Amino acid sequence: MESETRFEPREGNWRSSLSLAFAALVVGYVFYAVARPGTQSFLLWHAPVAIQVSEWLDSAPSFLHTFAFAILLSLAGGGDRRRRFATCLAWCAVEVAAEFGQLPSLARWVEIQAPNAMGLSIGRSLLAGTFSVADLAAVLIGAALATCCVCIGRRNKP
Amino acid sequence: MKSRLHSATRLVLASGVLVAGLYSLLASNTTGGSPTTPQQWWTGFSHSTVWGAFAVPNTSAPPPAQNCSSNTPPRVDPPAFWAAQAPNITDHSDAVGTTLWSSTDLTCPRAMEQVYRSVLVADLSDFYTKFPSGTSQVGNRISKATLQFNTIVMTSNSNPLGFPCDPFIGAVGKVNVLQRNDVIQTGANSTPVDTTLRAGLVQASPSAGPFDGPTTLTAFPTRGDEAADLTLIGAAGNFANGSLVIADTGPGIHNVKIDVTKWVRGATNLNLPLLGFSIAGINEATITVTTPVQFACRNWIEPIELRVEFL
Repeated sequence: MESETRFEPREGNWRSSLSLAFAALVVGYVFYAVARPGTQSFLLWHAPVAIQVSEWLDSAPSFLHTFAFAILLSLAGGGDRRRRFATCLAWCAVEVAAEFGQLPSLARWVEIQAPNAMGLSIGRSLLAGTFSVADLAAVLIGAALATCCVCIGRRNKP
Repeated sequence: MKSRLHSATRLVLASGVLVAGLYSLLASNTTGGSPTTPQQWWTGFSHSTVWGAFAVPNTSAPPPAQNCSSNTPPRVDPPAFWAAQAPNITDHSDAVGTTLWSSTDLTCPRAMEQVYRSVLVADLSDFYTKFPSGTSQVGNRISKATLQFNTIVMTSNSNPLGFPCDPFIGAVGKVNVLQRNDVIQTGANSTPVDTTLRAGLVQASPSAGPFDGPTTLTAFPTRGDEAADLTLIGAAGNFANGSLVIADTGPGIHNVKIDVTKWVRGATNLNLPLLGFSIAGINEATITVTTPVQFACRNWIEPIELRVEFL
């Protein structure tokens, strides 16, 4: 029956998606380590001097992070294609929300409404970044590509 | 059972990935070092960071003439105002250290009353190196900025030396020249600066770069610019959108610390390498031109530092 048709990622796709996700994370880490050394608290190693990269690549971390974690989350969550699609969409929403959280107007609003929030680590982390339309676009592209990766599968008849 | 275990494993796995994703998402917004401790950067004001709007070529300038025509024009014009580069700055430090209170027009106090004010400029270029090249909107990472200086404040038009010398701090990263008897238009309200506010601030921001002196001068104060009431500079009070704190209430020299977060944030977002504050007295309505304004006032302001806390 058509209603029982399930989509499962091919084994090869599953592995390649996972590989792509980890590769994206590694590239993202290296990007921060060499292009933005000393700016991130999570860097275990970074270059002594920042290497200049094109401004076109400024939003690369947003793309890589969205792409990698959308894949990882949907693979970890499993389920059918619809569920994996929903997972990618949800992660995309998280990343978009985080980006909008960096709007200066929002930070000012929070400062006024809840001055103590800026004293919290999580509050500052959420609001301290720099809003960028390019980042937003990178997030959307990353999520779209991740969705393609995890939703490609063969049609299985039960 | 197998199915349940499978689901539980997936749940744990998904939760782990979710936590890692959220953590790295937040961490990427956080600069190096402890994420809970804001970093600090400050610039101590010195001759390398301060421009005098009125540079004086020698330290043995004579006191102002006792007779001065009210029509005496100021000796400096805008180009000269900004031409006062560091090499031209003369150390007037005597009793309280570095001062900005000087004028090329040492013969007539009118120069100070008229248009031009001393300006202290903080060099922010070092601050930008804290961030990776190409980082935009750096100012949004500033959580607090304070400007600190010593001064002798006056709460009225009288002081032991017989002239008013209440200072005010002007705009940031912008021209901060306030004309005496200027009128600030805020919406439908007109506020004569020197009679109502008694001290004022004008923010005049160039609409476009380069953000250097000449361009900035084109953004001379215009009606409708923001004005700050520093009438209470002799005591804690509101200072535009920040706060003013007199750390040392005197008598004598006061240690003044003002919150300039908003301005510094705005200036850095504009990538302004230099950031200017003006300091001047505006209670000059009752001054007689025979009063030696410059000679006495110039020793009364001592900028200390601009401190910036950022994430």
